[in-house]
Amino acid sequence: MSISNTNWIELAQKNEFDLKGDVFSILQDASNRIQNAPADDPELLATIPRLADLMARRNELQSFSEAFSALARSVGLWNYIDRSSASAQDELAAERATIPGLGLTLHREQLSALHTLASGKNLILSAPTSFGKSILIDALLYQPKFRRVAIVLPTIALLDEFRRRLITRFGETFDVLMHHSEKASREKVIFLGTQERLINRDDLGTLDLVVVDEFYKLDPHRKDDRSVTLNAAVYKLLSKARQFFFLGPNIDGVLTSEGSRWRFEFLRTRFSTVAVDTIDLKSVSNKDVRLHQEIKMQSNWPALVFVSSPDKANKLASDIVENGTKLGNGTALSKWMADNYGGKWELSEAVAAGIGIHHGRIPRALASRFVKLFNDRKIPVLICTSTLIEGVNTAAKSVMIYDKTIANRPYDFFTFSNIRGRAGRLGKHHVGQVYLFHEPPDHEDVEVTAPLFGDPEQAPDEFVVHMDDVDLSPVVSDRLADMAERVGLEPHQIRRFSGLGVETLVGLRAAVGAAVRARAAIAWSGRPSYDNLAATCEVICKVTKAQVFGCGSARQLALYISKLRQSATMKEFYHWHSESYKGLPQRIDNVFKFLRAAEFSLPEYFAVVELFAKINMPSRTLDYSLILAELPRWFRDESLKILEEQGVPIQISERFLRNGDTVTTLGTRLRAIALNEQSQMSAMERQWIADAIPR
Amino acid sequence: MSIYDQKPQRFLKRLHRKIENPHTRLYCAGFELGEWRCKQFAFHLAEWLPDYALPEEELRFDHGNVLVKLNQAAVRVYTSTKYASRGEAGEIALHAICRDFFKTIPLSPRVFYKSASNDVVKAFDMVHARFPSDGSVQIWLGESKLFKSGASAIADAIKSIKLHIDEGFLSNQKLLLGPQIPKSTPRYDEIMQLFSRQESLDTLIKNAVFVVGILCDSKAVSAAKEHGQSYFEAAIGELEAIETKLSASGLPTKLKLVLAYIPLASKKEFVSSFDNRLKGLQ
Repeated sequence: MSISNTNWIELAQKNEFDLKGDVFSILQDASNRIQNAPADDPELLATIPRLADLMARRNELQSFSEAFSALARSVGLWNYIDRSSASAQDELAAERATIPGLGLTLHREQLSALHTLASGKNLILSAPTSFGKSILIDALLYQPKFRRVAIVLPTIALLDEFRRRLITRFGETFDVLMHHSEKASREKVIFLGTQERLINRDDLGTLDLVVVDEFYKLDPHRKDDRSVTLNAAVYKLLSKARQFFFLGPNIDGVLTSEGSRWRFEFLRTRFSTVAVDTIDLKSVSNKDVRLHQEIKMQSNWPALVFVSSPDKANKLASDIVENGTKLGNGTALSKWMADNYGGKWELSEAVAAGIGIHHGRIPRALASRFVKLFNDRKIPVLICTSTLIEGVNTAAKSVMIYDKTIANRPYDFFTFSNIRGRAGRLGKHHVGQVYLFHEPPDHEDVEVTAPLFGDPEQAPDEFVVHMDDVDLSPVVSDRLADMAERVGLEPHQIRRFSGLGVETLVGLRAAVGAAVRARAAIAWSGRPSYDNLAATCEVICKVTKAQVFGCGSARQLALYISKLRQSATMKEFYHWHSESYKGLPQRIDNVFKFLRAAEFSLPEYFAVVELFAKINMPSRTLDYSLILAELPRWFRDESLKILEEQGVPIQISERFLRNGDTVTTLGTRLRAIALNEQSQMSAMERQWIADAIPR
Repeated sequence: MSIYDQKPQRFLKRLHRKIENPHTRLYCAGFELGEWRCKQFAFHLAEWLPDYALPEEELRFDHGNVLVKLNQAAVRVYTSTKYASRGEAGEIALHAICRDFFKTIPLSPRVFYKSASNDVVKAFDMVHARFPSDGSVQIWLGESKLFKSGASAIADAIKSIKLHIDEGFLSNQKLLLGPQIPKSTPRYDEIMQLFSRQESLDTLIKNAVFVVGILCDSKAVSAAKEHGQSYFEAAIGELEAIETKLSASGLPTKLKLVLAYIPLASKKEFVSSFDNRLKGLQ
């Protein structure tokens, strides 16, 4: 028997004698392969988690334990060495690869990457999801030479996850800063942020290390409208940094132009710590029925179901509810959702049936609650879109790839690999399962092209505006001058708003000009009237569709902003929305899209309209600063918004807010109330708060 | 210079008669100020720890400050509450003798075989390669015994080897499990040939040398204060007694055997010196 032709499912059922004989043959084949195969041979590596899984289930394999550890050590998966039965040499090897502060044993490729970084080189690491990339960042922070570190992450959910982990591990030595309002008080500091947050920080100073997670997002071809800002932010950070470390999954190469300012080592490895079984269901005739069957199977739990869009996720959830499927008990959370978001949201019924949903329109605190409950195995099935795949860590045993598109486009091999990589988790599910409902995309090499490493003459305008003069060729300087003329703003202003895109700026310039000529009511100061808001929203929606902000029209956008401002609580706002909503039931959650837009993009638009309006009407008093400050925090106290990013729903926190509260005072009070059984919170709320604010 | 040439300085002294059996030697730690060098021997063995525990590829990572040094790892392993001495001192001593006096290079696999009940049994911890002047390639398989009594040690060694050879290694399937042998290893192709599954066990046995290390209490050592003639006679006498037992087992007619005798003043003190040394390494 060889590794290649082993049927592991059948093997696990064999009688003791045959089982042992076969496992011995597998060990023989593995030891042979070690000598001849590449060091990251996926089939050979997968043997380790498969054997670990088998040995945990079949006690008769006790005598194989020392040989298993010798195999784990030999392939470099030192984290699988069983210290209680390993030989002294293998135990020493495992101990030496253990970072005491982390209490974790690294594997060979992790160590190799760390080694490169410790020697002062820049590194771009491409490794599978289950490689254990994030832990390398923590391992680096134990190195005394990294005192000022910036970490760029794509989502707020990841920011929060990192913040929690880093504060727990390094809170004693490092200041961990995530918000503009926070300033460093110690010499050692970690700046955590998305590209949008970090690009506008002015207290970065000289950095010892810049970490960019999910670095493939630098590639503008991946249709991510934040990629240019990411390039610009990373450009700015690297200009201040002694060293950098980029990490991401399944990339085959990074293209650089000849004159690129930055040099780095590229390490691409297929080293994985878990094994995956693929179950091919593409020829199944009724896929709906089959999916409904599979999600009911406990042996598949916890299971992620991947679908193409938020609408599809909502639809699938309501289908499951209609079928009468009940997978767990989410009654308390479901009731809370109906109370706090209004009763029309169908998702609350799905939650009652034990199904979670994760996509871009789910409120942040609720999404993070779903992930937590899913990882704790309290919600057995989570229906998700690519939002989850790209930015949240989950511990799923199974991944069911039910759709074959993302927003109507077939997903590519890279995305497929990343979805598939979500199955299995080190230490929890040694062997994951992937259910394929469709033909997977053909294998193709994925190369990342980043303007950052490319020829500036080919780079988009939005990136070039951020470049230092020393990096600019005469051709590019001329292009910048032309652009400035078209946009009609100073270079620093273009830089500040480049995230909207140069064409959007040009469009807003024209729209504001037209509005001024039409005497629209856009010249206001302080608190705008509804008409002021409506006029300003009309200008904005001439350039960018209202749907982008989660609304049907400019008037509706103005109404939403106005109602948000008037509502004393977020709960009141949600109830107003739920009661007045008349659209498609599956789209009711577009209100969350509006709220997300209010946090970042809408204020940017308002600010640009203000700029052009001032240029057009220099004699008028014009000041949007109040709304620019209040819209991002939904006209609430800043502390509520910050806690929301940490997973505390505003509908709970706003009940306990007092005058003069800071994040710390409010957070401490919430936690105290949550730990007190006699408090004004329900049991479900208490647990939620205790999980979100662990200390 | 190959990484295999970097070794701790020689510490043990080889003693033998003028006309010796080339495969039977005595290695003595020597005396200092009238005392057998127990602590010094333990210190010396600790110096061999990286060479013993880590293959070349893993040694590469021993630079920089990413990781704790092997020594610190050893301290943590040996000071953990669950640690019980498994006779590593004996294994390291045999490793050091093969590397130092016989110029072997460590290949680091372990040898297992399948028993009649399909269980896995470990046969040899030490696997080295040696290139004698006749141009052949030898695989050295080590069996070390650290006992209070020399008679029990050799009896146990004979029993182990017989068991491995007769019941497992030869009649059932073998398994040589270890990290990838670097392509830069001298005579790489020939070594790989010997290890390959297709190669018959006969070929492996023909090229194998079984090294028996005996560490035990020695009257000769405890009676002596220096390397004098009387010590020499008494110690060589002990070696010959062990050798006689080995010959009587019949193994030498079937297999190539090397006997290394390392007499100790006291096994107990030696083990505790070694443990203390490891615990004290920082």
